[in-house]
Amino acid sequence: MSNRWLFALPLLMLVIMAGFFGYALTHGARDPADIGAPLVGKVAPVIDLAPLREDGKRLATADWRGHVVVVNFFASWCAPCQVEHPLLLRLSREGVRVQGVNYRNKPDEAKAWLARLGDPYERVGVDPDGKAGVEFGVSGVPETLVIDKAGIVRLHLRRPLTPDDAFARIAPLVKELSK
Amino acid sequence: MSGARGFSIAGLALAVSLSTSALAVEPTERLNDPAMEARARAISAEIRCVVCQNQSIDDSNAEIARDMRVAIRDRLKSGDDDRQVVAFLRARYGDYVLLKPPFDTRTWLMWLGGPLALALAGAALWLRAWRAPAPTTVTPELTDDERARLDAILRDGGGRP
Repeated sequence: MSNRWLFALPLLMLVIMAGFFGYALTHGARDPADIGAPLVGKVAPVIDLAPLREDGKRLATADWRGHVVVVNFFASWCAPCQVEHPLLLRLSREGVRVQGVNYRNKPDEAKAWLARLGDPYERVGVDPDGKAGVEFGVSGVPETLVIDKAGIVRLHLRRPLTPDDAFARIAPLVKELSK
Repeated sequence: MSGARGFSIAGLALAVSLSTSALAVEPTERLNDPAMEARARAISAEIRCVVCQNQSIDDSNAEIARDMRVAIRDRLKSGDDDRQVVAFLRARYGDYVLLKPPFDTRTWLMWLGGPLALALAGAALWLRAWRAPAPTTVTPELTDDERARLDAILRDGGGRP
């Protein structure tokens, strides 16, 4: 009677556990290291950063009002930033307003890096101690956000951009939001 | 010999445990107000470092953990209470930064799963014990033949030497 049930119990538990493991393995969205994008849908945090170039203008959230902007956190010491850099240059050439936050970087090295690779940024603000990074919930570079005319964050990618990110997500989104 | 080794291992363990908590928070980060510094330490101990999986920012030497510790102290200095400071980080890094996840629709099974399983198992055991027939000491009836023999034994006072 009920004792016979007990023999099936370990098997039942194995099946349940295998179900959990199978689900966790096959559903790619369940990455435990994924922080997510809690800022999406919220008003962009307020920053006001000194310019990287002596003749440049400050990088301030307040100046973005009425424009759709792409905000990119980068550093010259960050190899993935160099990998995604050509994509930012192309977006910029296509008329996207790309803003740069130079994250924890020596200004001279950042300037040399931009001189060598090209400068996609409308403005570049310096964030020497990572304060603007924390304001925008950045966990490392590169990270990229799209902010709409009203100052609402619409996209936050915590990874180096892929061509798909740049031209299948960011470019169409900017176009859509700019209407 | 083995005593000395045991001592040195204990010493090493102590040094490691002290250094991990003492090294992370740098002297330059500390606030002058000890009460506020204590609040900052208490909040930091509950905030998960975003690049080291399962370490609090109070324990982590990562640069981003340092930035977040500084941000916590900046918020406290500007007059935020503890809840507002945590809300500030949660708005930017989500529930990911909470070492203790909140109780909500996505996490209730995780929080209640253990106690629930225990309660279910307890209920099942109790029900089984309650429904099973009470263990009675069975006294089988004697046959007429046995009864006659027993009477004979009692009457004769044993019958055997």
